[in-house]
Amino acid sequence: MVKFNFSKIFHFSAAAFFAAILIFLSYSRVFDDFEFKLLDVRYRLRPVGEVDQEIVIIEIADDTISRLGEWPIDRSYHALLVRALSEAGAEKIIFDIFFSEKRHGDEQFVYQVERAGNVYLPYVFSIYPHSRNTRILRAEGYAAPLLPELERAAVDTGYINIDPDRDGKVRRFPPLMKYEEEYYPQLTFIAALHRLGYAFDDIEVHQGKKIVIDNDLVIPMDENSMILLDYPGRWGEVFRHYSYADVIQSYMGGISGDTPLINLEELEGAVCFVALTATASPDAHPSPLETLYPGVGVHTSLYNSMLNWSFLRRLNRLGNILILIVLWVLTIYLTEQSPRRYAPMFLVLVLAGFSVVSFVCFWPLGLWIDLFYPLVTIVGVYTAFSFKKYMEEVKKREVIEKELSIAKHIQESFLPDEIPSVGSLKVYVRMLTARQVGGDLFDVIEPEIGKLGVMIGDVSGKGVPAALYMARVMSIFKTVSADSGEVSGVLEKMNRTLAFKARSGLFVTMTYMVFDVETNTFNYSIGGHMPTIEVSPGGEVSLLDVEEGLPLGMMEGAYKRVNKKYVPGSLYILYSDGVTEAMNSQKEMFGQERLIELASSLAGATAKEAVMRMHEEVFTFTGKAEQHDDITIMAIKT
Amino acid sequence: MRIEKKKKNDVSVVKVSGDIDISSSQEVRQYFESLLEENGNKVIINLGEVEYVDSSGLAAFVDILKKMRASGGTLKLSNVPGKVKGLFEITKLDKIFDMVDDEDDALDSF
Repeated sequence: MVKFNFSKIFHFSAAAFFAAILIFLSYSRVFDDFEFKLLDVRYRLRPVGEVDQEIVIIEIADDTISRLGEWPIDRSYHALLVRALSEAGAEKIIFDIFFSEKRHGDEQFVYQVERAGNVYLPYVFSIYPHSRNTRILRAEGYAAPLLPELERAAVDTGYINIDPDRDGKVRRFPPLMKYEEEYYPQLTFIAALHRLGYAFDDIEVHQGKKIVIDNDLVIPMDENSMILLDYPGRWGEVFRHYSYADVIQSYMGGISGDTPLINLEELEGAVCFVALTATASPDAHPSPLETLYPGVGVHTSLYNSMLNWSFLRRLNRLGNILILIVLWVLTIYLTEQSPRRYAPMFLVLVLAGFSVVSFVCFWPLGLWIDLFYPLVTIVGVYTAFSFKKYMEEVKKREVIEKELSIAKHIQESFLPDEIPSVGSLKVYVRMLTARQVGGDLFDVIEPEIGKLGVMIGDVSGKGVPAALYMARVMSIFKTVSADSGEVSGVLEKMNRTLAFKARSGLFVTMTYMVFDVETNTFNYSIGGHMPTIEVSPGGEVSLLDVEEGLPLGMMEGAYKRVNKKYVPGSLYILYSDGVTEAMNSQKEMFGQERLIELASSLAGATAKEAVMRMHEEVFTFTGKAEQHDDITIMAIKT
Repeated sequence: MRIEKKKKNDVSVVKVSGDIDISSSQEVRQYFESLLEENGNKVIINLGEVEYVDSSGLAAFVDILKKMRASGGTLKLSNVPGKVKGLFEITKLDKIFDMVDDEDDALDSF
């Protein structure tokens, strides 16, 4: 029977669902505004491009307006300009100023335009709004037609509409528009075609794809039949700029014999774009490079692109989706496979790496690939997968903690439930573990009638390994102590058993004492454990130690036995190093001196009172500091 | 934790600094195992800059000592700080380790 893993199916479905949404969003270019912003960064980062020196901008800037009067300036000046440029040997004169109404000076202007024979004049279409974002822009009429007499005089005409993106910036340019089922060229486009030796009839239009010239040369267009503008640099940084008034004045000066402001011979062979660039001119738009970029810069950039035959283009939607999928797979692979602490580093590398790739594609390769979706989805995929991993680990930890809590119960079952009562001896023990399972152990037994054996031990290390070792030590102690009541013999046998199989680097320190109520004596043996504190009924404190006796489980060794008499009413305190090494938040240890001082005040206390007082003192000392070791205290009152 | 070794005549003097605890004791153990394989059977461990030793650190030292003895080598501990010495004394390990106050004395005693 096929088993369904519903959790996996759910995760897979969720991932597929989100992937589908992202692919859909990327395909429909919903967040293109962000994509534009990231494209602009690339525009700004690339160096200044190659500019053809034949391109000249004749600017009607503030200086011209102030010298020649107000805008619109008299058309007789345009006539003069055309004559001046024509006589200087300009290759082409392209006006980025429309002439839709008759004005003074038209006759002279028409005459000079006709005479020059290389003047391109514009008109402005009114764009059919619903044709935006379709395969081609369509005109529904003229917003500013060209005067018929000028149209006849010009070598050719074209529209000069600029159609900014949604955010108002001009990044794209329509080389063609459809009007009454005919293609109409953009003014610069037709001038550049002529410059390259082609006529408008030589082009073949593949809407939303490309323009093929003379079955050979290809100009890439986007899905809306727009060309992505290749701005070579900031305004003023590129192209040759001349003042309109300077040209006129130099020409007039040449006639009247005055010294010309500029040498008009410089304009021989130039393609002159005449445009209004004065402050507050309506013909200025934000570009990726500058917040205000004169419209004529758009024309010169297109002309420059065509002359250098270098075009930018945008990778199509499928290409971008393919990149997206590759990056997802890479991010998932790195998140899943790399060690968790390196994963963020890999993520940053992928992000930075892809940003560099996208820049290199843009410059020098001229390809605009999407950056926004890949960056957002890399981070998204990483976050989702890290979260998934985190949740898995939380689950695992919960399971482990549950198991540890069970282990704690099992461990507690190794320790005695009831303390046997022998004569007047009273024993009290309290053990507090630092983690859920600990390494401290104790036992209270009656090895023979009238005798009471007490054992305390501390396994090295903490947590599960110590707890497992503790279980082993307890069971060995039970076996060995049942056979022999002789304390050093018990430790020797235990040590032999434990050291024989010592592999784990674990060991146990231990004190074993046996009290004889009939003779009021006791004997003890210590294996590397803390000395026992003896408090006489009068409050005198002494430490019960031995000369020899290593911790059990390390290596073969001998254990000394000490026999002593006890005075009834004495108190014997056994403890683990968790007591002396208990630390406060200033990292100070409780220490043996403090313990001895405390013990001296316990004369007369019952076993329980003594244990509780000591615990209380230790926890008052440690305050809010975390308990880092098991704390076990056992007291025997004789 | 940091381990530095220098060789004086045929004696390896190994200086251990920092904490020798559950997170570093395995490294100490492995270090001395490989030292022993390189035939370094006269070893002084200078503990002068050790701040803390826990039970796993003690276990590591005992292991090293056992292996040294098994291969006929000699191990001495020098410059043992008071706190660490106290731990050796409580566990009676001071009885099985040869502890010398000073590194030079330890060198002279070979």
